[in-house]
Amino acid sequence: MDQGEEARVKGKGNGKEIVIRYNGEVIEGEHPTVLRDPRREVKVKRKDTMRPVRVDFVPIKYEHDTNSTGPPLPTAVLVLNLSPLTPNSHIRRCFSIHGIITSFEPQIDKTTGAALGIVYIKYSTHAEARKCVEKENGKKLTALNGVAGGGEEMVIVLDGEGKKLQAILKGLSAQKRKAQEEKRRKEREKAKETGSAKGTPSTTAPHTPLGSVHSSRPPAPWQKSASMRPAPASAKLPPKPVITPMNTPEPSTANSHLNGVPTGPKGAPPAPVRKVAPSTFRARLMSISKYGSTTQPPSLRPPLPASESSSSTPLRPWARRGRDGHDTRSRSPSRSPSPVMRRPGQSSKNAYQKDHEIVLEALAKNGFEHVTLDGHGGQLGSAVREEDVRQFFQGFRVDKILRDRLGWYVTFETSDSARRAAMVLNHGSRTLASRSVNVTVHPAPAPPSAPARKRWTDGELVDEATSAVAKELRALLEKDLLDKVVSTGVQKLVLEERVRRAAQIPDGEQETKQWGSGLRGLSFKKQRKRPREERETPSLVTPQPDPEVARSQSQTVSFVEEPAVERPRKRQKKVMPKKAIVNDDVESEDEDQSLPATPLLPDAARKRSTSEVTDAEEPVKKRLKAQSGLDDIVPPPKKVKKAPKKPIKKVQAPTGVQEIVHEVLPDDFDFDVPEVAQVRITPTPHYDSSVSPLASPSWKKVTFSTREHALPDPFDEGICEDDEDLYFAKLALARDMGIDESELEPSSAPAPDPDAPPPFRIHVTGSARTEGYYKISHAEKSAYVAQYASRGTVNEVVPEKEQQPQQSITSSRSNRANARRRAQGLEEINQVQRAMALSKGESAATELIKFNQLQTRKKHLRFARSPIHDWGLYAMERISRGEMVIEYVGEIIRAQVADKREKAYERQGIGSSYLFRIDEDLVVDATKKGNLGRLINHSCEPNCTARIITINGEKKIVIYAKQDIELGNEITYDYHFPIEQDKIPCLCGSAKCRGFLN
Amino acid sequence: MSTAPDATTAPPPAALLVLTPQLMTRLKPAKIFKAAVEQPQAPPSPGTSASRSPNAGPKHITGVSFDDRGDQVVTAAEDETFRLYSCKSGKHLKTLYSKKYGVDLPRFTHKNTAIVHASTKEDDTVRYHSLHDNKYLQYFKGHKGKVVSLEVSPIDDGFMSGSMDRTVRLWDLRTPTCRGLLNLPACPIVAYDASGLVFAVAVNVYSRILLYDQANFDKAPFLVVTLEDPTLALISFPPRAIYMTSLSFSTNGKYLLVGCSGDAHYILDAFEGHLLVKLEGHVGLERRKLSTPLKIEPERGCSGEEISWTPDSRFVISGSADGKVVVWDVQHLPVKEGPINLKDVPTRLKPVAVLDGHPGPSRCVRFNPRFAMMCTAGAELAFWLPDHSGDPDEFAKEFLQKKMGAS
Repeated sequence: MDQGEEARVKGKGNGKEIVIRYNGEVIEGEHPTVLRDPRREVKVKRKDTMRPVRVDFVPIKYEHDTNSTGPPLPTAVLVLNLSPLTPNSHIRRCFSIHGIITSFEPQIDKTTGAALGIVYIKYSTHAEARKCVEKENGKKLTALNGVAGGGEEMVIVLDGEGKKLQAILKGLSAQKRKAQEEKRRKEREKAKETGSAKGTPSTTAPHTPLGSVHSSRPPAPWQKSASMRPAPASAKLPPKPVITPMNTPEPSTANSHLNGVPTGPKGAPPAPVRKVAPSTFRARLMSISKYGSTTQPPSLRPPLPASESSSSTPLRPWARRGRDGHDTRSRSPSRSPSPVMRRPGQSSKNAYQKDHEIVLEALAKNGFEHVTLDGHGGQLGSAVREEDVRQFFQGFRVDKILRDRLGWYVTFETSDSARRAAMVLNHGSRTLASRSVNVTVHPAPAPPSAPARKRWTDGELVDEATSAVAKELRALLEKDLLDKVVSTGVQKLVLEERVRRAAQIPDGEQETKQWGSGLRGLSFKKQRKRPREERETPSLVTPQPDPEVARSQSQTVSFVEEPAVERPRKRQKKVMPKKAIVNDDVESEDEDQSLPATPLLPDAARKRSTSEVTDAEEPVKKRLKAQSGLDDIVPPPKKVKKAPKKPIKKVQAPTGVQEIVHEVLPDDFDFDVPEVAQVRITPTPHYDSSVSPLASPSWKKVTFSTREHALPDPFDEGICEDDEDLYFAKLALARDMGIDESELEPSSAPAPDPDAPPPFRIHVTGSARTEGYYKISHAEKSAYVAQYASRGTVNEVVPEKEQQPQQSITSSRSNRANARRRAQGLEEINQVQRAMALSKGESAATELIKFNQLQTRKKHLRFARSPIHDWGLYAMERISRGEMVIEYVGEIIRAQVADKREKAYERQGIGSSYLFRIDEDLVVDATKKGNLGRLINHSCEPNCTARIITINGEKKIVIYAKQDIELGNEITYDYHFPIEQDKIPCLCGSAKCRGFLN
Repeated sequence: MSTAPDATTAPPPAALLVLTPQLMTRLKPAKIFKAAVEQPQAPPSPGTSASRSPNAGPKHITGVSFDDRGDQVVTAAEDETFRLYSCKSGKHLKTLYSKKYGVDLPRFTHKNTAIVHASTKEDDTVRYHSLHDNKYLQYFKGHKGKVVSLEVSPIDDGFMSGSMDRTVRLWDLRTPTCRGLLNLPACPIVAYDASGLVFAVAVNVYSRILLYDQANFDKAPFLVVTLEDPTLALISFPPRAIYMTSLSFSTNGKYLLVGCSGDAHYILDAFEGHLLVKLEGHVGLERRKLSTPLKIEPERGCSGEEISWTPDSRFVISGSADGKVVVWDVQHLPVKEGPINLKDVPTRLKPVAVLDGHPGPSRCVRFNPRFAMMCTAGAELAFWLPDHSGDPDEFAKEFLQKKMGAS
C-alpha cells in the first residue's frame, strides 16, 4: 500500500496497464514471487526451442565462382597402382572415356626412367575428373589388345594441384633412399662376413658385378635385383618402393637376359663387361619389355648369316635403330665370337623375322612408298589396333595396313599418298590412339629374295658356313685380280687419255648413239631374279654366261636404232638428281619398274639387258661394308655413284654380309661394272609425254656439254666389247681423269651457259647439315625440279586408273564433318544474308554471300617448305574444285605506294614480293600484314586461281581451287606476272612450266 | 586448399558431419566475398562532413545472423546495407539498403524472411524488416541510446534489446511497444537461454551478470553472478576491467559464454555462475586496428559479434583482431561445485585451432545452425567449409604404407 508515491500501475486494465517496479518489489495485490531458476523447475512448461542443439551438421559444398577461394575445383586426377608395363596410350584411351584429357603425365622414375605406374591426368572439367574417380577408383584397368591390365586395383584421387602426386613422389624417393641405405648396410655386413670368413677383403667384387654403377647412383629396384642376385630375385628383396610389385616381371626378365651370359650353358666367364651406361641399360630393358620376356629383341641377335634377309634392313624405323644400334655396340664386347652357339630365342626370333618378311613382301608387292609409324613413347605396337591406324590415315587411299614387331606399315594405293600422308599427319592434329605419331616415308623394299630358312640343322649350318667362307675367299681372289690385272690396264688407258686429251674432239653424235643403245639395254628386269636363284643354290657361285644374257644382248642390238637419243637423256635427267637427294626413291622406283613388267612383253624383253647386274643396290653397299678392303674392287664409276649414298645405306642395312660376295666375280667383270646401273632407267612412256618440248632442248644441250670433256673411246682402246661396257668404262674413265662427278650430272638449269656452276653442291664437310649456310642458286634449285617432276609423273599415272574408287573413299565421318560445317556455314550465311538485306538491299547480297559462305568454311591449310620457293601452302584437307581456299589478305595500298614499298623492300633485302595488284590503282601488300595466302607459290600449272571479287564495294582477292586438291598437295596459282626483261626463273616443275615467272 | 569436399574421402551427402577438433582445424574459407561491403570510393572531399575518422579503415560488416534453418545468412554493414546470402549455394542473394536508418545487429526472427535490426542513424529504434519485399513491418521505438545487444527468443516472438541508454527492453514482434523495461546502472548486454525461460543481462561497469526468469522478468534476477578474473591482476595493476560485449548461452543451456573486448573470453556455469574457463589465444577487438593504442578505459571497440558457440556446444569460435579465427574445444570443461569463490583462478583454455584465411579482423563469427559451415565477417565476408581434400603428405604416406603392406 504505497499510494503516496506515483501509481505503480498506469493505464487501464486488460493487460495493457504498465506496471512499474523497483528492485523487483511486489506491489499490492500481487502474490509475492519466489525467485527461482525456472530451468530447474520441473513444473515449468517448456516450449520447444527453435534453435535446438545440433551435434551433426550437413556437409555442403559450393560451386566454384568468382568468390571462391583457392584453386578451382580439381580437374586432375592422380592414378596410382597402374602396371608400369601398361602402354601409356592404352591408359590414355581408358581414361579418355570420362572426358577430354587436357594433359596426360605418366610419371617415371627420375633415376631410371622406368614407369612408376602413376599417371597424372588433367581433365577439362571437374565433373569429368569426378566421374573418372567415381567410375574407376578401385577398379582394374581394362585389358585391351591382349595387354594385361594393371594387376592391381587402381587408386584414383582428385588432385587439383598435383600436391598429392608430389607427396607420393617424395615418399617414393625417400623410400628408395632408405631401401638403398639398407641394402648398402647389408652389403657391408655381408662383405665383412665373407671377408672374415675367407680372409680376402676383395671378395665383394664378384658379388656385385655392377658395383661401380651401384655406388655411383641410386639404383632402381630392378637394377638392384639384377646386380645383387644373378638368380631370379623377388622374395628376399628389402623394402621395395611402390613400383616394385608391378615391376617384378621386369627385373626377372632383365635378369634372365642380362645374366644369360654368365649363367649360360657355355659357362662363359662371368660378365666380362657389365658396366653399362645407365642409358644403355635402360634402353635395353625397354626393348626387352617390349619384345616380351622370352625373346631377345631383334637388335640383339647375333649376326647369323643364313637367317638374315637382306631386304629387311631398310625397313627398320629410325628411332629404334638408333637405340638398338647403341645397344648392340655396348653389348658386343661381351658376346662370344661364335654366333651359332648363342641363340636363346632363335625360333621365336625367326618367327618375328618371318613376320617381318611377310610384311616386307606385302610392301614390295605394293611397290609404292609406304610409311612407318613411330610413336613417341615407342609403345605404339601393343595399344593400337588396325582400325585406329586406318582411321588415322583416313582421307588417304590406304592399301594395306601391316604390322610386325617393329611397328606399323601402311601402304597406299597411289604412289604419292605416302608422301602426302607424312606431310599431313606429321604436323596435323590427328592422333593415333590419342598420341601423336611420327610418320616416316620409306621406299618400297626389294622383294624378299629368298625364303628365309626357318630351321637349321647342324649339317646345314656347317654347309652354310663353309659356303660363306668359300665365297669370301673367292671374293678376295677377285679383288686381287681386279687390283693387279684389270685396274692397271685401266689406269694405263687413263694416263694415255690424259695425254691425249688436249687435242681430242669427240664424236658426239656417234657416242650418243652408242650410249643410248648401251643404256637402253640397262635394265633390272632380270636382276631381281638373279640373287634369288643364287641364294637358293649357293654352290652355283659363278654365274656362267647364261643363254638369257646372250639373248637379251642380241635383242638390244636389234633395237638399237629405236630411241637412241632419248635414253641417255632421260636417264640423266631423271635419275641423277634423285640419287643425289633421295636415294630411297630410287629404290622404290626400282620396284615400280620391275613389278609390272613381264619378260613376255616386247618392252620388257628389251629391258632385259646385257647387263647382268645383279641386285642392283645391295651387293654394292654390302660389299662396301663387309669387306672394307675391297673398296678398290669396285670399279671407279661405281664409287662415284655410290659415294653419297654410303653413309645412309650403312645405317639402313646393318645386316647381311654374306649374299653379296657371289656377285663379285672375276670373270664377271664386265657384268660387275654395270652395277652402276642400279641407277635405274625408267623407260616409261608416260614420262616421255610429260616432258615438255620446251625443256628437252636444254637437256640435250646439257648432254653435249658433259661430253665435251670427252673421253677416250674405250672401244678404240679395246677395253670394251659392247656398248654397255663402253658406257661404264666411260664413266670410269671420266672419273679417273678427274672430271668432276658433277660435270657428269646433267646441269638441268635453264641457264644457257654450259659452264655454269655444278648444280649440286659437294659438301666439303660430308653432310649438308654440317655445311653451314649457303645459298642455293636458282640453277641448283632447278636441278631438283626434275626430281619433283618425275614424282609428279608417277603420281599422275596411277590416279587415272583409280579415279573411280577415289570418290567412294571419303568416309562417313568426313561426310558428317562436312555436313556439319556446311550446316554451320549456311546458318551463318543466313544471318549475314538477313543482316545484309536489312542494311544494304538485295543487290550486293549474292556475291557477298558467296564469299562469306566460303569464308566460313575456311580450309585447313598449313605452310611448309616448298620445292618451288621458300615456303608454300599445303592443303591439310581435301579441297574440291571451285571451293574457296583462302583470301589473300594484306594492306590495301595505292599503286604508287606499292611502287615505293617495293623498292623499299628491295633495299631492305626482302626478296620475296608479296604485292598483289587488284586493279590499276590498288595493290594488296601482304609483306608486313597478311595471312597464309601470301605464301602460295606460283605454278605454271596451278591448282588454284586468284579471283578478285567485290564485296561491299571492297575488292578482295580470293584464291579458289581450280581443281580438286588432295590432302597435302601444295596450293599454287598462276602469278600472271607481266613479261619483263629480267626473268625470274620458275621452279614449279610442272610439265607445262614456262621456265620463267615473267 | 580445395574448396569442395573430396569425393574420395567425403562421406556420401547423407552422412552428417560431427564437429571434431580435427574437422575444426580443417575449416577453410570456401568463399570470400570481397565486395560484401561497399567501401568508400575515394577519399572524401574536404567539404563533406567526415563522419568517419580517416583512421577507421575500411567499413566493416557489423553483424551477421543465420536463420533458424541455417539456409540464409544476413549481414549488416557500415555501408548501411544488409545483404542476404544463401548458405547452401554460397551465393549472394540480395542487397537491401537502409540508408536512412543504418543497420546493425541484424537478427533473424523465426521466419526466414524477416529480421529485426538496430538502427545506427536517425534514432535508436529497433526495426522489423521483411526481406522478401524489402519493407519495414514494425518499428520498435523506445530506446534513447544506441542498441548494443539484440536477441530474439529461441522459443517465441519475443526479443530483447540492450542499449547504451542503460536499459533493456523486452519486446514482442507483434506489439510496437515494449513489454518490459529494465533500467540498469550501466550499458547492458542481453542473452536468452536456449530454453527461452531465462535471460541474462550483463552489466558492464559492475561486472555483474543478472539472470532473470523470463516469466518474472520484472522481479529481481534469480541469480547475480560477478565476473571477476583474478588473473588479470597478474598482468597489470590495477587490473584492467573486463568489458563484456556479448553474452550467449550454450545450446545445451549449461554454460554461459561471456565475450569481452579484451584478450580473453569467459565461460561460466549457467546455473551456478562459477567461472569455469578463461578462453585465451586471440586478440581482443577492443581496437579496430592493431596499430591503434589501447585506451586506459576498456571499451567496446568493434567487439560483440565475434564470439559464438557452435550449435553443438562443443566449441567456441571467436574472431580476432589479427584476422585469425580461434577455436576452443569446450567439451571438457571443469565442473565446479559449492559456493562461488571469486578468487578462484579460472582454467585457461588454449585454442585447439587457429584458423587462418580471413582477410582483416574477423569481427563477426558465427557457425551455421544446420550446415557444417562457418561465417566470418569483417571488411569482407567469408564462408568456411571443412576441407576434405586432406593433407597430401598424409595421403601419400597412407598410400605408400598400403603399398608396402601389399607388397
